[in-house]
Amino acid sequence: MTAEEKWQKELKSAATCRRAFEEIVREYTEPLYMQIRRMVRFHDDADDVLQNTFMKAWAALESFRGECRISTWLYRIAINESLRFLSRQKEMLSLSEAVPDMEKTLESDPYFDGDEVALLLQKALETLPEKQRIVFNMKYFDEMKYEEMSEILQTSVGALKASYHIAVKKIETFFEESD
Amino acid sequence: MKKMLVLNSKQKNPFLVPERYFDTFAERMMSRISEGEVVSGRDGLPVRSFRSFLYYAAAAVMVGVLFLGTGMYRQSHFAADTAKDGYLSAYYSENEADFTYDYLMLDNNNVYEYATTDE
Repeated sequence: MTAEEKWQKELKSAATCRRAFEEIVREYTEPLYMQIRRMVRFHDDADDVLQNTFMKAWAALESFRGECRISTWLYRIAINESLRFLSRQKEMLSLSEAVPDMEKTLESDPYFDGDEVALLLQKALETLPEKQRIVFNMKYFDEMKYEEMSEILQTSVGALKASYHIAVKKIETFFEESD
Repeated sequence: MKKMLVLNSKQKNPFLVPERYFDTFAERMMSRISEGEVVSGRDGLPVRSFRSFLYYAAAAVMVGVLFLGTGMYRQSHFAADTAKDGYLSAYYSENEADFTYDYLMLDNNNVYEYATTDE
């Protein structure tokens, strides 16, 4: 029995679901964290979103019918939570008069270890619509196959390929214009 | 400004995490669950507590009222917006599809190179 099959079975039983859920948390913390972190950028925010992701998953266990892989289900929750976080952040910023400089904030972040090019890439990514940024992150950083992305994002492979292509073009243009 | 072309695993992931963050996360997460933010139902599987249900019900009512108000306002602008969105969708599908398959030939390394080399 694979780990996936074992967890799917154990999650359905009150006696074993907590232990199975803990194993799932240990297995998927790091990849989910990185997916979230690339969206929200800062560690403290990523930590909050990651915790919310697992809290939501725990609360929704009853309704999870095993119609998809556990990783797919968790990624979907993580992405939705990241988008929700960014949406709330945008609302708060729109009420505030101060306009934060993302580049300067990242540069001074002790948990950011990128050079000038990495910083510029993050700035370029900031200009993309959030869903396009998700597609770019999954393809470029996580090197996910389009079929896997399609399952998680519930979007066709063709649309994802087009979205990635557009994101790449925008980033190229951004780099050219920043010279 | 000349840009360095650096493509390695470190460069691809510039985000650091505090020491032992991943090692201790599961424990923190499971104790948060134990603190009863989400309680177990009759069959032992997790369900929301009744108080949480009330909060969500109140939130749902407020969201419903907001949507109703927003929907009535937006209905008056819907026709114009739809026409514009339809044009944009058609534009993208016609003009971008041709380029899409050319770009499929590029792998991730080429993307970075493309984005950073001097011309």
